[in-house]
Amino acid sequence: MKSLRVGRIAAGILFEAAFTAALFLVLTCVFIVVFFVTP
Amino acid sequence: MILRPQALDLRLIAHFLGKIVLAFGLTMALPIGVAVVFGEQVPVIDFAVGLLASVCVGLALIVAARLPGKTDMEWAHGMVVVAAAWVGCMFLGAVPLVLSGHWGSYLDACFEAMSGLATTGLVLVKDLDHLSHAANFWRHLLMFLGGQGVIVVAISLLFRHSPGAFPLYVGEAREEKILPNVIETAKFIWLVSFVYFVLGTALLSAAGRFAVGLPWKDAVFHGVCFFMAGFDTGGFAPQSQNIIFYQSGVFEMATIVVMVWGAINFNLHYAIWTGRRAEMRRDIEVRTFAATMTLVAVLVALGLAQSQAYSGAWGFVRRGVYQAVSAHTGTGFQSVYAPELLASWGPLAVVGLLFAMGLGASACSTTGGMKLLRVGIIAKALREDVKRSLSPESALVTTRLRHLRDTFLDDRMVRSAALIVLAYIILYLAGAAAGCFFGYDFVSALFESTSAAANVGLSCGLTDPLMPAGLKVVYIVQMWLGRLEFVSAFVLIGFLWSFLRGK
Repeated sequence: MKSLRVGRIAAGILFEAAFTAALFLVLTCVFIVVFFVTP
Repeated sequence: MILRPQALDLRLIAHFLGKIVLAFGLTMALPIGVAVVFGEQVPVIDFAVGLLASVCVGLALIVAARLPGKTDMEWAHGMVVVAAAWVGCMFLGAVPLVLSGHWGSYLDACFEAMSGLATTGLVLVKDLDHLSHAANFWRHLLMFLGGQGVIVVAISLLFRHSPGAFPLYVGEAREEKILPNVIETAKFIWLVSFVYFVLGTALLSAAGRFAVGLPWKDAVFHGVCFFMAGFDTGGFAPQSQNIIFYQSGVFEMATIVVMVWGAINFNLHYAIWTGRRAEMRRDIEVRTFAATMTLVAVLVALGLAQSQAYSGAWGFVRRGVYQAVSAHTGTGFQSVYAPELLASWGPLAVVGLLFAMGLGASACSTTGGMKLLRVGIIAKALREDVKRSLSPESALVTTRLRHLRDTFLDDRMVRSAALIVLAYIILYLAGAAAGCFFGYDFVSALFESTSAAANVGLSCGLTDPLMPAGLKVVYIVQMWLGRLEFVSAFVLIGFLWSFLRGK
């Protein structure tokens, strides 16, 4: 098993930030689609 | 036949309980520091009294126990200690709160302390906007301590040997060890929290300073408080209007980042931080989260569209996304006023929020609720049953699931998940029945009960200093049971019963 290193932690944090951004974008898209599609 | 506990059992429990209370009491030194920084004199006395009371109780238990040498703790002892420690910490944590004069009674202060420790976020404080910085900081620190786990705090401060600590760790609804040694696991949880504390506080302070326009000192104080409440998926805020006070989309987005960090399993943080990033795509919890979050978003969006609560796209998306994430991560930050939730959001949106609150987020994170791991396991079991029905009788149907490693779904796993999920549903409904008994309508009672039992903290306005004392007690018990995921609380009740009726 790989150990914890500063570089790996930094890469991990950036990866989690990207995951959060992707989640936010998907949710925003869902709401925008529903807003404009529903009468 | 039920056996009455022996003197050694009681001494063992008292010893470890004393250690935990002592460690908890020592954390009251932090709000004293905050009081000194902000030049507040009276809170120093309040917290000194609380600290002294906790240290006295802790030392009295350790001295009274007089534990002979190294004695191994059994699982039942660990469970009893954990369940009792949470109640003890609530009573002691409420002392400085009630001394501040901002809570109507000691019961209200206990409610707030349990709400903080269990990372719920329902509030009974009066005139929050004029509460001292020290007491306000303590409310958020309670959330931080409870989210990390009171036991994790005690293990980190006062335990040197792993065997005694492991039953305690498991008793606090943490079935998964990240590292082979439980003390190393506690240290890793603190490492993640510390790293994110630095990043999250910097992010929120900068948002408070530049997007909201707060002076630096206030921006940092609010940043620290919001980090503790957001990362530990609690939902307290340092002023009465919660997130609405800031009127800033940037500040709201910063809190969304912190909420998502807190909702991730600490094991998954470890996997990602050691380079195994593919786990984020493969893990059953993340996949379940993606599915349920999308479903919640669709329900809330359709509900908002149906009710026409917001005429513009910006308000529609901003409020909807925020409340969906806040509910599903179990945080409870509120960007709409409490009475507005039921009055103008429409029934479908409320169903979406109830669904999100009830499910909760990851196991071994700071969130409450049923947990996505259990929901994922039950979904897989259902799929397996359907597959088995459609296959020839001689076919061997197996299901694999990925949660940090590959495992096969077995009956024991499904039974354990289903039992806890069932217990949560009963708890949500029992709280709703209690609310109806005290004269509230069913939807409000169910919403508030689910929020309390799943440790979320979204409120439809029912939680109020003027609500009946009986309902306050019901919600305290719900928060306690929900946070500990039943087992250790039931073992404590069984222990007390055997003490009274055993032979």
